[in-house]
This record gives sequence, C-alpha cells and structure tokens, in this order.
Amino acid sequence: MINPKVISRILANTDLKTKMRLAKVVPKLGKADEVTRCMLCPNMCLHVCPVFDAERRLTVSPSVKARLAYLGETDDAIYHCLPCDACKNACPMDISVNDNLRAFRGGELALKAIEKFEKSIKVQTEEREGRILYFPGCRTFESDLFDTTVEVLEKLGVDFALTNVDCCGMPYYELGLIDKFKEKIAKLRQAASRYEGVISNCPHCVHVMRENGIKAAHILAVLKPVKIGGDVSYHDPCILARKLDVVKEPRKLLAEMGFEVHEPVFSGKDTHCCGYGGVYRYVAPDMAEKVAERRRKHFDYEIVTACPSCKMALKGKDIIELMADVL
Amino acid sequence: MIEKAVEEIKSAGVEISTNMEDRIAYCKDYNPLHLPKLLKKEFPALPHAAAFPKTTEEVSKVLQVANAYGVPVYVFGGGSGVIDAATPYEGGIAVSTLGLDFVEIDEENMLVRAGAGVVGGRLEKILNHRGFTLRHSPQSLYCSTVGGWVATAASGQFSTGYGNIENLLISLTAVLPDGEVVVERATPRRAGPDLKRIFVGSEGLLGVVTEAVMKIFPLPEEFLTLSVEYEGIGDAVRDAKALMQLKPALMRIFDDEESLRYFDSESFTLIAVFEGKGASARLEEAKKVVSGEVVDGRAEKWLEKRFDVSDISRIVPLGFIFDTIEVACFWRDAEKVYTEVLKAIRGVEGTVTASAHASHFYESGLCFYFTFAGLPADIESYYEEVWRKAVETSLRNGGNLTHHHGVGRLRKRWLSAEIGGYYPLLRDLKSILDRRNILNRGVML
Ligand SMILES: Cc1cc2nc3c(=O)[nH]c(=O)nc-3n(C[C@H](O)[C@H](O)[C@H](O)COP(=O)(O)OP(=O)(O)OC[C@H]3O[C@@H](n4cnc5c(N)ncnc54)[C@H](O)[C@@H]3O)c2cc1C
Ligand code: SF4
Ligand code: SF4
Repeated sequence: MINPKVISRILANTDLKTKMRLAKVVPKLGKADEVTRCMLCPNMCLHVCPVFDAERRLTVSPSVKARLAYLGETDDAIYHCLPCDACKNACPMDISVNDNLRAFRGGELALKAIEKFEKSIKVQTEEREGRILYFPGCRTFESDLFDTTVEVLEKLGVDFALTNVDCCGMPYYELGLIDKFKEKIAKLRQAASRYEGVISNCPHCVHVMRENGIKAAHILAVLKPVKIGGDVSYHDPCILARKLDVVKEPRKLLAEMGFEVHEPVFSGKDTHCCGYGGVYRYVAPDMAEKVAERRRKHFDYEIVTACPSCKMALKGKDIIELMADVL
Repeated sequence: MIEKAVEEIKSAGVEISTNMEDRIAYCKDYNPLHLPKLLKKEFPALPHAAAFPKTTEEVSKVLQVANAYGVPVYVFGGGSGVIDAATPYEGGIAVSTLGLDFVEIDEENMLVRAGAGVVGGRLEKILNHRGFTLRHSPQSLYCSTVGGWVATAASGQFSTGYGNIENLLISLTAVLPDGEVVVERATPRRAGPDLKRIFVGSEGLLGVVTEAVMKIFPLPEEFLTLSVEYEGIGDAVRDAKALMQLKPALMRIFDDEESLRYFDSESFTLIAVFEGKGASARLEEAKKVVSGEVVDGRAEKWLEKRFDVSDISRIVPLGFIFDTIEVACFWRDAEKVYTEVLKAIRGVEGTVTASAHASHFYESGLCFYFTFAGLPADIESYYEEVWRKAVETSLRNGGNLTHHHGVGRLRKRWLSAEIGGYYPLLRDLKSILDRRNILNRGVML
C-alpha cells in the first residue's frame, strides 16, 4: 500500500527512537474502524448531506454523528440520518455514515419512531397469481400509486402476482431493531421464493430484498415507452441511483416517451435525497419536510421520478403515473 | 449568569440549546491537537450552550444579551479552522452562523449574495449549475462557510488567477460585539477607507460576519493543464515567476517528497492550469518558457485527489500528530525559506515525514505550505517544538507568519513581530468594539 520509496525516505530521515515506535504501530495502519476514521475527518461531505442542510447544526453533520456514536452519545442525533449515502458517494474512504450508525440505534427513540411508522401504514393486501411477484411496499399505498401501477402492469401485459406480505422491514432495519427486521424479511423471502423474481415501485424495498438474497428489480425494468412528449425535470431517487445503480434507464425511458429531460442541480449519482427516505420522517417530521421543500426548489420543470416516497415529498409524478395518463 | 443569558436569548425567539449532543458538536475546531483528545474520549472544551440564529438581527440579539451578562461567545461556521481559534475554552455560548444560509445570484452583475453559514461546496455546486463559479476553492471547500472564509482570510486553490477571498469580496454585513449591525452599500468600488477589511482575517475577534456579496465568474470553457518536472526547487520557482506573466489560474510546485506521494516520481513537479479565453495560446507559450521537462498527466492526477484528506483518519489512530504550516515570502527568499523551514521541522525528534509544496503565487512571491507528521513520545511538546522552530525559521529567513490559515491561539505569540505597529492598533480596536471582551476571547491577541 505504501510506496517503497516513501518507506526508504522515512527510514533515512527518522531518528532511532521514532523508528522503534513506528515499527510497533505500522502493522495497525488502516485497521481503525469506520466510525473512528469518520470522526477524525473534517466533515468532507458536509456539503452534500441533506439532513445537515435542513437542520443547519453541526450536531447532525456526518462526522459529528460519528463523533457522538464514538463517545456513546446515542440518544438523538445519530437517528437524524437518511439512508441516502450522499456521504459515501463523496467520501474518499467510501464510508456510509448511516450504515455505521445503525449499530448504535435501537434505543428509546427507535421505539417511538417505529410506533409512529406502524400507526401510519395503511396497506391493502390482495392475492393474485402470476410469474413474478409485484411487491408494492407500504409507500406505494401511501402515495396512491398501487391501483395505477396494477392498471399499467396489466395494460403492458406483465404477468404478475400479488401476495399479502405487507412490509420489507426497512424501517426496523434502519432503526436498529434487528430481530423484528429479520422476522419481516424472512416472511417476504418465503413469499418471494414461489416466483421467478420480485418487482417493486420502491427502491428501498428492492434494495433491502437484494441485500437479503431475494431476486428483485425496480419496476422500471418491466416498463415500455408510450409516446407523450413535453419538458420534465427528473429527480433521481437516492437509493435507486446510488444503491441500485439505475441512472440511465429512467432517462432513456423518458426520452423514448418523447420527453425533453432536464437535470436539476444534484442529479445522477450526485442526487439529493427528497427527505422521505428511511425513517427520518418518523424521527424529525418537520425537518424531513424541510429537506423536501429545499429539494423542490432545485427544479425548473414538472418533477418526474421513480419512487413513491420521492413523488410524495416532491409533489411530483411517478413515471408510472405519466404512463397511466395515456395508456 | 449563563443560565439567565440562555433564558433571555430563548425568550427572544432565538434557537439555543444546552443539550449535550449540541455542546459536543461545538467543543472544538479542527486544530490537529484536538484529535488525540477525542480519541481518548476527552473534550477539548465544552460550551454551555449552542445558539443557532437565523438572521442578522438574531445574531445581534445573542450578542446584546451576551454583552449584558458578560458571557463569552465563540463564533462557529463549519468548524474547519485549524488554528485553535473558536474552541470554547471558557464555556459560554457557541454561536453557529449556519442558520444564515440564503444564496441569491445576480447574473447581470456577476455577483452572489450569500449568508455567512452557506457551505462552500454547496454554493459552488449551485453556481456551477447556472454556468458560474466563485473560483474560491480552499481544500476545505466542502466543510467551510462563507463567513469562515472572510474571518480567516481564506485562500483557494485558484487564488493565483482569481485572488484570495478579500479580492472576491464586494460588500459585507457584520454584527459588532455589542450587537450593532454594520452594512455597506454594494458597489464595484467605494469611497473612503475600506473598513470592511477589518473583518477579513479578524477570526471573529471584531464582529460576526452575517452575509457577503462576492464576485462570480462564468465557468471557463477551456481548461488546460501543464505539468513540468525539475531537479530542484530553485529552477521550479524561477519558472513559476516567469509563468506568472501568462496568468495561470492555478499553479503549484510539489517538492520531491510530495511528488513521490502524488506522482511516484522523485523529481520536483510544477503544475499549472490555464483557463478561459486564449488559454491554449498561453499554454503553448508556457511550454516554451519553462526550463524543466514537460511531462504528462500530473496536473490531472493532483486535480483528482485535491480534496482527499483521508490520510489523517488513517494515521491519527496510530498515535501520529500531523499539521500544515503555510507561509508567504518574496521570490528572493523562496529557496531559503523552503530549505530552512523543512530542515527545522525534520530536526525535531519524532518527525516521520516533512514535505512542502508552493500553493499560491503572486507577482511578487509565493506561499509555501509545509506538511509534517510525527510519531513522538509526547505529542504536545513535539507539536509545540515543531511549530516554534518552523515559525521562527520562517520569520528569520524572510517568510511570514501565515498565508491563509490564520493566527488563532496557535500563532498569536508571533503576531506582534509580524504586524509591528498595527498590533497595538488591533488591540485598541478590539477594546473599543468589544468592551467586555466577550467575542472569541483568547484568540489572536
Ligand atoms: C482539510 C482542510 C483543508 C483546508 N484547506 C484550506 C485552504 O485551502 N485554504 C484556506 O484558506 N483554509 C483552509 N483550511 C482552513 C479552514 O477551512 C479555513 O480557515 C476556513 O475558512 C474556515 O471556515 P469555517 O467556516 O470552517 O470556519 P470556523 O472553523 O468555524 O471558524 C474559523 C474562525 O473564523 C471565525 N468565524 C467563523 N465564521 C465567522 C463569521 N461568520 N463571522 C466572524 N467570525 C467567524 C471563528 O470564530 C474562527 O475564529 C483547511 C482546513 C481543513 C480542515
Ligand atoms: S463519510 Fe467520509 S467524507 Fe463524510 S465525514 Fe465521514 S469520513 Fe468524512
Ligand atoms: S446517509 Fe445521508 S443523511 Fe446520513 S449522514 Fe450520509 S449524507 Fe447525511
């Protein structure tokens, strides 16, 4: 890892006592854990963190959240995080602050937030047989996308099934309630095992499924263009762009549908979370709204996206809805 | 006293917190000596409260109340300052400027008006999206604020072509320590002495900057690079002086040790960027002017890595202490300053690496930026000795005290040697503007 010429220079220029100290510590080089390394960083991803941008206090900035976790101060700020990975996308050490903080969660705030989440979900469960499983995820219901999606899938001739599993477990996972998460994902895995694969509107659900050995794809994978036309601004859902690597596909689809696609500031992998990602809405609802409000200002045209949470937060349209209008 | 002040600030409608997590967030700046303390789970300092004003008027309210109770106030932007300035050693109130975060672009006059708490990286991104740039690009762009830049007299990687923060400033709004707001009309030039300059580099001693109007530039269409290698620092510096006639936007000289780290080469390396109209002609001319060998790709390599400071996170947990010392000098003294300061740092027992690059250039001279890392038996005494020897060597050989990081507490003992007769003037100014000495007490003076 270290250039041998650098090593020989160090050896030539360093006094004996220091050389002896060096010999002891060199084997530990690069072994510090990510929380420690992040805490020591001057916050080199501060400019892209949407939670910091909305809350405007260093307390919820990436490096300071790592500092608080390191110091065992885990009551509040470490929950103020979207699973957006804007930090990781900018980090020279590829560190995801949110991934690191999860292990420190699971306290009182987690229990309060999950209660709010459970009270808020309204899923309608339907059963139907087909080749692939369509798993809408709770936010597809919340954003009124379920009926539209079913209609579009039918019109496009997609052979899909529905089952009565209601949750991928993401909120439990993000809040550090791991046992409950395992229960939820096991149920979904069991249901999914009967099909060739799973599709979902929600990038979060797709990501959680993939991470847990379920063959899943975002619904964009089965959509076909229908001609419409006009000017739109496309918002990249952060999980779709960064964790599922789906950046070109929605643009290609929109272009084939005749749209002129305009890019906002923060787009592609450098996108900006809408504020409704993860469980931040159940931890700091006003601030989640503030992230959304700020993100909305980045667009010049009607906002189009491919995620039920982003659609709600940004008051935009999902690509599915554009299709439903003309199909 | 502090409890009463906090209550009064709160009842005036200004957000203020005594929550432990907020206090920990404001327990230090980014002076490297704080990091080993954090590793040991010790707080370098701890404010009693952190205030988050959202307007100039709210900043004024905080300062009025603090004045009434004689409570110390420490001003924080991004907290990326490296000179142990805002660290709240006496408790009191940490005032964050981050709530002042508006951005208004005036394309016609090529200006941006920004709140003091706007984070540089975001500002630049917003400007770029509209086809503009501030071209103020400190390595801390992503974690520092507009107000912090003014307060520390910051300098960016493109300063050679576009100037330092003071050259980009059109006007300022600031709150004096007693709460009085000072605003000036923004015009391309002004009448009388340019008094806003007292805030540039004053490190929060004389007031809180709440907004700034700055110049912006069209994003250059052409962006061309030059990389040249040399056997020694002398030839590289001589060529840099000649290249200044061709107006490079950015220029740097890396010594052999830094060339090795960045480019796997043991020669000295000069890189330059020429941009904007006529850039290709200037680049061609530059290739004729230089005496060293033109090589490929080094500028690009550095540009790619220019914001990567991850080595800090890798070495500090092992017990290393590192820091950087940047000083300005005239051309005449360049070789001497480079050689002697490096020798001084290397001479301190515990030093593992010491290297330098020249990072900012002027018609009359340049800035050398020394980087050292040590693995000493005792971090604090080692750090003290390196700083003392490096600064004294710089001053003795024609170098100055600081080019852009500032004075803080770290360098204050040498300030009067640097600014001579202006030192008592600064002290008088401080005591007139801040009778109760509440603002950034212990910094600089
Ligand atoms: C990795 C790294 C790289 C760096 N690279 C550069 C570089 O290339 N060029 C450069 O110039 N500096 C650099 N710095 C130093 C630092 O980033 C700058 O000094 C920066 O301008 C500080 O801004 P801040 O918002 O973080 O201020 P802070 O650290 O919060 O404050 C710095 C000082 O300014 C005062 N202050 C802050 N805001 C205000 C305000 N609104 N009104 C009055 N006083 C205020 C504080 O009280 C303190 O004294 C670097 C630092 C790091 C960690
Ligand atoms: S995620 Fe990376 S860039 Fe961001 S604060 Fe942590 S170490 Fe620094
Ligand atoms: S995951 Fe997103 S919200 Fe959380 S620290 Fe990183 S950038 Fe900020």
